[in-house]
Amino acid sequence: MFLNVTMLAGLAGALLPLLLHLLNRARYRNVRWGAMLFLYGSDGSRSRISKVKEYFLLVIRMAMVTALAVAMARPVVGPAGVSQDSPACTMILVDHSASMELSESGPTRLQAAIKAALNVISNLKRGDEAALIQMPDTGNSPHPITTDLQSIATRIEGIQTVSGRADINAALISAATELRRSRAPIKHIVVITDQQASNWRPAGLDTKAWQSMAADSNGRMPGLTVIPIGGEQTSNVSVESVRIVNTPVVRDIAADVEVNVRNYDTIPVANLRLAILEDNRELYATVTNLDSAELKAVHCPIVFASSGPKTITARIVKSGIASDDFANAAIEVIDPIGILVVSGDDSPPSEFQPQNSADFIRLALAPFSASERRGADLANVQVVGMDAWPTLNRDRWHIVILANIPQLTSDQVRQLEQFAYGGGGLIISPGNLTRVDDFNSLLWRDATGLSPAEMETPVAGDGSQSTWLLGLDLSHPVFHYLNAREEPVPRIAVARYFPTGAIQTNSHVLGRFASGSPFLIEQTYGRGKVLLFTLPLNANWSALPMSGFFLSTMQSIARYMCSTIYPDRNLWPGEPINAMIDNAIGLQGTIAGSGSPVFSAPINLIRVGDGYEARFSNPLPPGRYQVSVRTAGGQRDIPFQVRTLRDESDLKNLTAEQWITNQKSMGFERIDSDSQSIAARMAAVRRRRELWLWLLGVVLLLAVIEMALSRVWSKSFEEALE
Amino acid sequence: MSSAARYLDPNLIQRLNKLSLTARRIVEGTAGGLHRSQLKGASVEFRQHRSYVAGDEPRRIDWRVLARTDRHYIREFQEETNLRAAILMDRSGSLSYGSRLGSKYEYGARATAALAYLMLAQAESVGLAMFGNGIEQWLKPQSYRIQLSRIIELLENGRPAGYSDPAAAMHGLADRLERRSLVILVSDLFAPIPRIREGLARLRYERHEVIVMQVLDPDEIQFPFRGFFRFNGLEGERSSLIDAVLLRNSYLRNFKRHQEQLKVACRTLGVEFAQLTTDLPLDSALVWFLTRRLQRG
Repeated sequence: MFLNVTMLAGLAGALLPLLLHLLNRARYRNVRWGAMLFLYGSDGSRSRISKVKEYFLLVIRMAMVTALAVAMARPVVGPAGVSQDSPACTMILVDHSASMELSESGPTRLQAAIKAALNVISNLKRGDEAALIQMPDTGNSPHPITTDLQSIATRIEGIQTVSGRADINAALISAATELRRSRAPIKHIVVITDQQASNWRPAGLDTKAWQSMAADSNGRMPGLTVIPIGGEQTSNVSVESVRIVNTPVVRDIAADVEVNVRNYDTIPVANLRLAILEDNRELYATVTNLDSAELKAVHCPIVFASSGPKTITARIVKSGIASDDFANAAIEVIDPIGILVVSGDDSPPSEFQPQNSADFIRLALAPFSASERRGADLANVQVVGMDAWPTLNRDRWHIVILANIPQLTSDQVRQLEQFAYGGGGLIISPGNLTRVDDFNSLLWRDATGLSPAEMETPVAGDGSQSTWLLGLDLSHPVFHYLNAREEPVPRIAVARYFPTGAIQTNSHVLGRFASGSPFLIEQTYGRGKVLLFTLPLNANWSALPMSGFFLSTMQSIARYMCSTIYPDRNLWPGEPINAMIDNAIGLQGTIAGSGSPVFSAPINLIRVGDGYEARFSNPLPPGRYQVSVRTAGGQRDIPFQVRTLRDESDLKNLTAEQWITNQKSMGFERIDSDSQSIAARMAAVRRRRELWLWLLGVVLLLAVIEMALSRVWSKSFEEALE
Repeated sequence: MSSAARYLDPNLIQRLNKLSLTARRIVEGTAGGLHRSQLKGASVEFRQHRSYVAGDEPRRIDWRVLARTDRHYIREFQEETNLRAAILMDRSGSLSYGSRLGSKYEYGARATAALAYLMLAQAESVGLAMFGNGIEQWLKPQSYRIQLSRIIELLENGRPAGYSDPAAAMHGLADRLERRSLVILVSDLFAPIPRIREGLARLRYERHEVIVMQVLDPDEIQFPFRGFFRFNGLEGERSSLIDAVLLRNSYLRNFKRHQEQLKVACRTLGVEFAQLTTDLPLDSALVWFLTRRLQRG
């Protein structure tokens, strides 16, 4: 199509060179010539070549005039049968990620984006279609394609920043899918985003596949326009995460809160104030320094005076994006861990001379109470004999330790199995009283019982097979605390131990003696865990209970065994919410979010063992959530925190080269956000592509060729003779 | 204007009188002149004795030697002869071309007349052969004064037409010349080089001294045409309407190659070559040419 059809009359000018040629031929002069020999050459071919040259130049001259006339007629290319008044469908993709809250000079990036989006709307015509896609997708995007442009404008005005990355690739795919539903002949995708490099991940988008998806049935691609918003600010410090290192958090015992802080800038940050808060009450504060691009873990010891579910916040002073200046963590502060020690020994405990396994366990897990001194203990340890076997209640006891038990009844084994299956922790430590045959028949049961391994008779007690601790699996959470030590494995002499026979397939050996025989074996049983020591936890067979390693390891084991009862409530986006509740009433609870908009949904409970499990699998956006369930003890509220990903925190912009690469691979037009540029672009998309500039280039090229050939073919006499 | 005045400019004659045409080699001649003949006969300059053989003229027997030695010897003398020259004048159609200063034929004819005058003035024999597609008119070499008038008359009556075959003409001339002569070929030599070489070789084989005087028009050297021209061949070639600008390069390339091949042919056959253009004053060209020959003779 041509925008200035009348100029096509200039095509007649293409005949001008031909007419001039014919005129010149008609006005030829006659020469009676003697040297005809040199005109024809030896075979007359020279004359023919000259004619070819003559006609070639003529064609070039005619083509020049033709191209000039066509250029002046302003040709455009675009879909056939489409006029400027044809309806258009425009997909408006607006970035409302966290980086859009930045304000560099006056309005925020989001406000500028909204203004640009409204400008796009204002350039649409009556009958045009449009749809809004927000990046990141907040769950209600895209809005359906509509001709009600006012409703789109209203939605645009209501956009607010959210956490999460603006995934332009996903939005483009969504836009291409939506555009296929439209029958409008003109299709256009407008992407309004800041220049943040993390928004663009071309590697994640199969450009060809997207283009084939976006193209209509005639293979025409929609117009693709990118309106970059915002400036060059890239400095930002974020709180990447906050977590408790030594879970569970026990009342009155210092919790190790680890806060990861990252400086995204190339300039170091000094005296950055970091505070830990609970319900806006500051629990702890410190200052730290960060090198350029440094990720630093800051450890904050915090003591909680009361138990119960809590949410703590790690916050720094405002830096760059405000939404990443803090991070929340949901924690459960518990009373001291309830531990029941069932001891087979009958020797009375001594105040200063621990005699049996139970004594050493008490000293390790509740040193203050064991020594009758004041202080906060990690665990509340109760020691009972075999004759006082209690009902195993997980509300009271989190862990049961069988210390040198000679023999169990079938009922006791069944109770232990239920206890472990429901999430309780079981620690088995055989001793000199243990009958190996009974142990294997009741606890090993041919690899179906509670014991992770089959026991064999202990090695000789004459010291001939004494050994020592050699290998520990330092990657296991139980031994994480040893990682920072120069010699993590202490040399502890062991005079006797129980060698093991077969080991259950789902077991894991956490430590071995120098003889190669396992020292500590773990097995998951139902929701709970079972740990088997292959020696008694007293000083008769080894020096283990006398070492500092014993105390630290027992406390670490106690915390680890509770992890099934108090799982981490800080989830990654997409992870299901999973809460264990004993004594629930009814099979339904609720889950509610604290963000905006308010989220609330019912949650079903399923019975697991002798307890209940509340599970919510639908992916939830980052934020705070609370599962509420009615129990025999009243309503129980369990907080959860879905972590916010920090992929928006890196404010580095696309480089000029990256812009060019993206433009080449995706074929978009990049324009400024001012109203004139948007209006011009919107008009150009309707107008389709003008070719006059290309044609002028062709004219110039032909002119150069014509001049060059004319010059070469009519060189001066002197040049020819040289 | 009389025929003689047309072809012999008085100023030119005055300058030519100061020079003499000297053959570089001894040629055979009947009139005693400056040219040394290799024929031995009666003359004043003794060359050698030889034994008498039957048929020798008795009057050439050296009687003094016979008286002293009782043997018959014949006396031989070095004889000075007149130069015998034949001018081979091209009168084909291509000689009729002339851009500004007259045709090449007129220029060549004036050169021929000038040369004839010069040689006859030295009592040398001059002949003229007019050729196109072979010898068309033939005037035997003679040293009489009236020979000049005959030559001029022949030149005047000759109208350039038809196509030329210099080789055929040179063969024809070689057949007609009874003795070694100086052959002066006046032509534009617009003919295939192999044919020209063939004719020159024949003359050289007959031990004639050959001078080639190529007469060209400046247009033929420069090809200064612009625009459309219809070139009509003067020797019967087909005409061609063409943009001369586009043809110029190939024309000049062909012309240059032809000239180079012609010079090579002359050099290898021992033929003197001179190129005359019609825009050069004839006397300057001839004076330059004769001076050069004197220096070499």
